[in-house]
Amino acid sequence: MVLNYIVPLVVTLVLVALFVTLCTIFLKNASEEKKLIPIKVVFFLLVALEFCKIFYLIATNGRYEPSRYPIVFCSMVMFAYPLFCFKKNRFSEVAKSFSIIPAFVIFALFVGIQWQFNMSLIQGHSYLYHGAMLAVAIYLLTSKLYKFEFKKCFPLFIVLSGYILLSTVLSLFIGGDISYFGPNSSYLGFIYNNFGYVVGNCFVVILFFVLCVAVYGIIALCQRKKKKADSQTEVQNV
Amino acid sequence: MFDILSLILISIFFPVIVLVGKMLYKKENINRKLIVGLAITFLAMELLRFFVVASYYDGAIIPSEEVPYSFITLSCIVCLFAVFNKGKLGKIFQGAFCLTRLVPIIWALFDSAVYTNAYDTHAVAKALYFLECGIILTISILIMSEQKITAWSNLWAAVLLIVFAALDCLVITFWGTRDAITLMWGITLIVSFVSIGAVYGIYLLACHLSKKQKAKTIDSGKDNG
Repeated sequence: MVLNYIVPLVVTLVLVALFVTLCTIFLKNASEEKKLIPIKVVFFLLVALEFCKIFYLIATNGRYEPSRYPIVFCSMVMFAYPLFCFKKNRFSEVAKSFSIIPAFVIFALFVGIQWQFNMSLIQGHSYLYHGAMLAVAIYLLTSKLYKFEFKKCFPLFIVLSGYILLSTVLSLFIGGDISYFGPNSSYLGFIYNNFGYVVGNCFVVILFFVLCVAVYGIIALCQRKKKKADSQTEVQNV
Repeated sequence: MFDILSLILISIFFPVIVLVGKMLYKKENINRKLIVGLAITFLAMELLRFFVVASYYDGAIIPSEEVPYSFITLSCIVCLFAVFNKGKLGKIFQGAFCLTRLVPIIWALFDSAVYTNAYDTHAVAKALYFLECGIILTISILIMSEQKITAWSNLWAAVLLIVFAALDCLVITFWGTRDAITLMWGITLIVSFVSIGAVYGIYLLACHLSKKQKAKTIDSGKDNG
């Protein structure tokens, strides 16, 4: 348990903290373009890791399983990076939103079940992969590249729901689970097995809605309270 | 034989239909939109081909030797960089992409395993592969009609082919897609290299003819004036 779970988890968190601290401090006064360089590096690292994982798993298992396709929920965050890293466009802000909350959810889901598995090369890869996504999510916040605004939660919710719908359609089309919400999933598989695809999907969509609204809502409330307190202090000083 | 004929006919007629349609439409600055549209279609079709092949297996678990990987998969990634990267790197990818356009067709002609699958009884995956060959040929013609392809592009195209050959060696060895690296594999690779030069030669000839035609039009305009 200690060697297979606690040690890799602690190492990952230390690496994440190091990445975030160093990048934030060294790029504190840099332009936005320069601040995005670490994310570009992480993006290419993730692409390389994804290719290596696919090649290694097919070579060792002798088969390519749908849960390993690069369109599972874990890999989707990676595809959001180029949308705001290389050239700004109308999808950049949604892509940034998609790189934060889902990255935290993915890391939490990943860490939640890892105690069951023994440490291996592919496990090490997974810790690095998910840790890198978490690092980018935190870095986006600490470097002030992303600002929480309540209105941003709706596009994020639409994208997440769209992904759930698309992954379900694809799963039904190919006859296998490409998403972590499928029937054989260790996370929410029990919902699908008991209630079927439609109820399962609705449940996940509602869950995402509650999560998005709750996180963005709480942060918006905190920001409003902070603003109020600041303005009151200013008035008192005057 | 029917497959080979279909592949060649689709690869020839797809660009012809698109280019004739473009000429008849008579709208300027449509090249970029067409290239972007076709590149996205190509990506979608490559993904669809993968999912179609996956759907043939129980639980979508594809055996390693049946994973639909070939030069066209690599072309898909190169195509995205060639179309959407407008920098210096994009130019390199454009050259490499355009000059290796006959390579997927050559691999398909020499080895039917790149597009066939025993379960593909309705030939959906096969049809997608043939159409993709036509689409990428159209994209490269459109790119070549507006971008200058330098002699250095031959080198980049050769590098791309070497990268593919190295990847294919690894895939053959570790995934067990075929028996081994055979003589036929080597011949296909050599023909692919030759095709790079051939495409560049055709491009230079087309440029020369186009210049000649322009000069002729100017001369006839002067005579009339």
